[in-house]
Amino acid sequence: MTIQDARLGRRLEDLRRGRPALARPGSAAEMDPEIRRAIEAVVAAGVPYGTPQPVWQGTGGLDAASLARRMADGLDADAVETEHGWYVRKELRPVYLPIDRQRLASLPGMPTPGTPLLCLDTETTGLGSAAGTVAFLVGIGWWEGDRMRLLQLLLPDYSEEAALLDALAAEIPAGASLVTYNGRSFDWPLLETRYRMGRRIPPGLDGHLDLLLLVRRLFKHRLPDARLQTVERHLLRRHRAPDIPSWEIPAVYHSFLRGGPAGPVRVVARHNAEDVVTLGRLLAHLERGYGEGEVRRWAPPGDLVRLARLFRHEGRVDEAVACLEMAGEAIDGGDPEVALATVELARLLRRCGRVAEAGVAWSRLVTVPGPLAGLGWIELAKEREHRERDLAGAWAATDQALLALYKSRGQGNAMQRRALEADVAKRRARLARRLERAGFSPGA
Amino acid sequence: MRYHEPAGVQTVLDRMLAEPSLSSGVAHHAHLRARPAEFVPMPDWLAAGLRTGLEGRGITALYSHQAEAVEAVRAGEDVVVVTPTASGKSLCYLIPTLQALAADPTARALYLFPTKALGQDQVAELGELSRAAGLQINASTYDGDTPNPIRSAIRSAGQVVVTNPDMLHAAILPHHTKWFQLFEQLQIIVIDELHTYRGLFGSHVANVLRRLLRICAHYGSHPVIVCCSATIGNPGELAELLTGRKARVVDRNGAPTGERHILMVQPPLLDPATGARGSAQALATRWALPFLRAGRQTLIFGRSRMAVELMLSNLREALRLGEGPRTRVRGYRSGYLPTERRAIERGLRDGELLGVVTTNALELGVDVGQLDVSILAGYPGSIAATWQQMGRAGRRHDTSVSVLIAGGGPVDRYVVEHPEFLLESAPEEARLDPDNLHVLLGHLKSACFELPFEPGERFGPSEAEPLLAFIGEEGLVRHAGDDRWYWSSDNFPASSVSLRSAAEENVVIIDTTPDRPRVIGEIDIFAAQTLVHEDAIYMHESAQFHVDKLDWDERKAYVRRVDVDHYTYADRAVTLKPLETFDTAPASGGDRAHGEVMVSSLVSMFKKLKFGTDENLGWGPVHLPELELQTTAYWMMLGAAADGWRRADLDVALLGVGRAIQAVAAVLLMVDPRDLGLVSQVKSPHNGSPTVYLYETVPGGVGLSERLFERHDELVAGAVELIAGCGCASGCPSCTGPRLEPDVDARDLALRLLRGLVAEPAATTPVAAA
Repeated sequence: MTIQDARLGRRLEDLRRGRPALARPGSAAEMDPEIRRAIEAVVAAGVPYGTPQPVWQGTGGLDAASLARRMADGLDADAVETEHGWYVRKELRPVYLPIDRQRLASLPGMPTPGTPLLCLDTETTGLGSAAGTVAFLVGIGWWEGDRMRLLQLLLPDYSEEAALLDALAAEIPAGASLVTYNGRSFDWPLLETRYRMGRRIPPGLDGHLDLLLLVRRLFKHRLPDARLQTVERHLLRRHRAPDIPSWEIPAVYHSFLRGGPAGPVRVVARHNAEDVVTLGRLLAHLERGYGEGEVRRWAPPGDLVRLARLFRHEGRVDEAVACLEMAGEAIDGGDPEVALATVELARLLRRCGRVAEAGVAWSRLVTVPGPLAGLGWIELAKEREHRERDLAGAWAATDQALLALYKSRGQGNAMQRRALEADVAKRRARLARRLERAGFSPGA
Repeated sequence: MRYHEPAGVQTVLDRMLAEPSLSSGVAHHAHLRARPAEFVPMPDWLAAGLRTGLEGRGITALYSHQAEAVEAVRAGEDVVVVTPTASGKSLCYLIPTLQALAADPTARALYLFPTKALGQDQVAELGELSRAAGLQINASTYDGDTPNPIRSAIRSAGQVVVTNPDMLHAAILPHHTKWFQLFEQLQIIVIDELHTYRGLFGSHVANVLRRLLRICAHYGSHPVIVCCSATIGNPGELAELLTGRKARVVDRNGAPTGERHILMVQPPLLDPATGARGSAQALATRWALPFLRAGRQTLIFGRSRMAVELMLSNLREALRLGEGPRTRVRGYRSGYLPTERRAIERGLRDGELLGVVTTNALELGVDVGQLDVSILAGYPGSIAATWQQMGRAGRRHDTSVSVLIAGGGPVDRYVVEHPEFLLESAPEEARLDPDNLHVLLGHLKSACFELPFEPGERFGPSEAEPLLAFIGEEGLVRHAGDDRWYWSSDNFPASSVSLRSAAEENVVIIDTTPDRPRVIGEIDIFAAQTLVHEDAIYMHESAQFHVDKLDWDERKAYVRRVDVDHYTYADRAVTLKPLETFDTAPASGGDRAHGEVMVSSLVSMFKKLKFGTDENLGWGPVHLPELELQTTAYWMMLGAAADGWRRADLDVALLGVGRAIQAVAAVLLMVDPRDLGLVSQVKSPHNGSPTVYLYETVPGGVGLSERLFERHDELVAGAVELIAGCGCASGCPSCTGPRLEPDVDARDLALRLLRGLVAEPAATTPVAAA
């Protein structure tokens, strides 16, 4: 039986009857009133929650040009016609957001001061970067002096994608470095997919700074999660006005395409603009709080420990040491991050042969409360035993190590402390033998 | 007979045929002589390095079929190669691939194998050959086991990508933009084990290939398709149905074969009154033992997982008593874990293992080398499968033996009594329906996701527009102003289509006997209802497990090791409701029809049966939800033929007729009998008449019902022949099916009813004379 069969219509009718009702994803009950209003507008448009509408029958009045105009009207934007179709272009008011590019570049993994930066965030019709997901809104931001310029490109219909892609390519300056949040695994592969789908070569980039990766490395220890809005709240201390949840975004767009109002798309556009500006603010935050110079002294020691690791990965040992020294200054405060900084500092110094300085760091460590003091004493014992040939001094250090571990029982990582205890035991056994051979009695 | 005396295959066979209790059951003994190779010189256009590489591996000339295939591919023709197991089929595509890559390293090839294991064997072979040819070829398998960091390297630089249809469907095609280097330069597509793409799976794969070729066209490549198949009746047609393109059939085998014996064995009729026959499994063990004791590598194929486990424990027991090589005999079936299976395959290849008892899991080209003996306990359900299983035995320069032992069913009896069916006539045709609406709609969504549809574009045989419009009602696609159709949903459509079955999920079997529970296997949800319901005895590696709990929602069965003297058997009750009649026509004695039906199956009880005697030891209830299947069916409604019948007699007669017709249908249409289900209703609630339904067990059907409807008269005539020709007294499992009531002559009743249906004017008169 082929599908040309006259039965096809009837069989489709049967399938239609058996079709389950469209499921509603999640609940909108606990949302802010403004979100609910936006969502309600979506619902009012009938799709996807209401009765399915036969959309194929007429696109009358819904051609690309009128969709583009409707979208532009709703967003206070311009509908632009190109030889490959329509797109909607919205320029936003620039934001005052000065960044010292010199100081930003002093941070690990940052583009050189001369590289044009382009913050970018997309809103899409689905998740993943497979061929059927489309970016219907691309927001970009770049600097002109102390101001961040903002531009949004929107897709009035699927058929007009070539126009949007060409417009976007024209906005990406040569040699630019992209700044995104999770853009390495989502936004940029998705855009590359879109250019390939349109049989175009994706625009060339000189670099791609994915701030998600940086945020994870620097701040994850003190953030509940690494979502951009969490970063906004906890790091930048900004509270966003009621916003649309991201799982609703595809539905908003599809509802608009089917004749729904442009209002909800405006909500999405505002969400996108905030995200783009947040990328810029995050850069400024990094530059001002962590860039070269005295400002770093005010940064939380835990952040500096992570920053030092990034410097170390780049082989910038001196800067790593400087960060760790700064982080370790308040050693008596009892902050475990400070102790951690001191441990990392001592290890780093030893690794690059600066043994004497490492010894100083270890002896600073023994003053902190907690099991890490035990580690400090163990390291001092090593140094006395092997470098200074001071067996008795080493023995005394292991005494102190045991004491420190005993006093801090119940604190810190149990496994780590067991390992430390085992280490001390082994060391003492060996020291005892050596002392005996040398004619000392360790018990004395 | 002395145990463990190494002996040649011929010697053992002669000794066994001298034993009357074994030889009396041999219905047919075919002795196929050795056949020399037909060589053709290497083509002169072959790249020099490739020629040296082949020579280095002892290949100085091609078999005639290989030469024909590589020449055709060179000329840009699609090819389907149909030659037996171990005839060097893979060179038919390896040579064109390497030739293409030697000429242009940017060329790409895509190999499709039905399972992961087969693909891995081919990558190894390709690697060896390309190294010998001095070529640097990047060939990799891309499947669910491929680690993430390697994936992106394969996407951009893999010259030969080896995968399976499932990966192509769910991972490669939806992400085609990341594979643009592959699709832009794709020159060869290889589809090995073509014959496995039948029925529902085949219908799915045909649609995946439609999507693949659509993507190739988008990137401007025009690959040649090389298919390889086991011997089937319609390779050209199958290839065309699957790929949508005509292919040249290469079926003249030029490879040499050793001498072989094919024996077709009928278990003895123990009791003509009940029609009881000796068991095929018991007989298979008897045939296998002498070969195993003589150190000959032997494969024993069982029809079910249960049969495999029973034969394995019987064989081990017999070898233990006779101090035979007990530990060198293993089981192999789909419930075993992959690592276990790989170890068994390796054991067979290096001769470490002597015997393996298996289901059809070992039927495909998993590389286990060539063995001495294959024994089939029961007809595997198709001639192609029979040849595949028999072909596992067959050394090129040595004698081999294949034994087909008939099981209890009527199809088995027919095949063994008609050896020409196996040895002479063309084996069955593989059927699939790429236009099955359920299947097609699912793939149309994926296709639209992958690439918008152009106005007027076709998908398969017809324009996609009406179907896209249908999908559009759910809001999944959008007809934009430029008249193209775009995917417009945040769904990922490939994830909702599984190529293998309608049932997407498997039930995991967890052994709770050890301190840390471990997973010992998994089975599909249909099989789970009869095999791992609560209180079932589940067999794994001939160990028994009691099912303590079946968590249906979580798809988990918790089992515990036990040692009991019985096994369990659960039967499913099936009800059927017609949804729509596609066509109906008068037939003698009633009417015939075909159409769409809803079949519900419910497992409600199980029996405990004693090992060896099959004595019924009791029963228990099964509480599991009903499973539903929407499919197509053929049915016959009895009119005049059923007039004047007693209801009880008619009940028995209908079932007998149905069973016989089911068997004949399997033979006539050359399909696995398990692809057709049977329901008989003495007074159908839907049409009021006595009705026999044969439904397709595949959701939506693959076109069998319509063919049954067309061939109704042949079915009836064949059923008469089948029942009349049976040696039993009053109905048996080989004709009208197992006897339910001992005093009723099912055979006579079924024959009487059938005579009223035979399409002869004289036979339409009532059979009062009987």
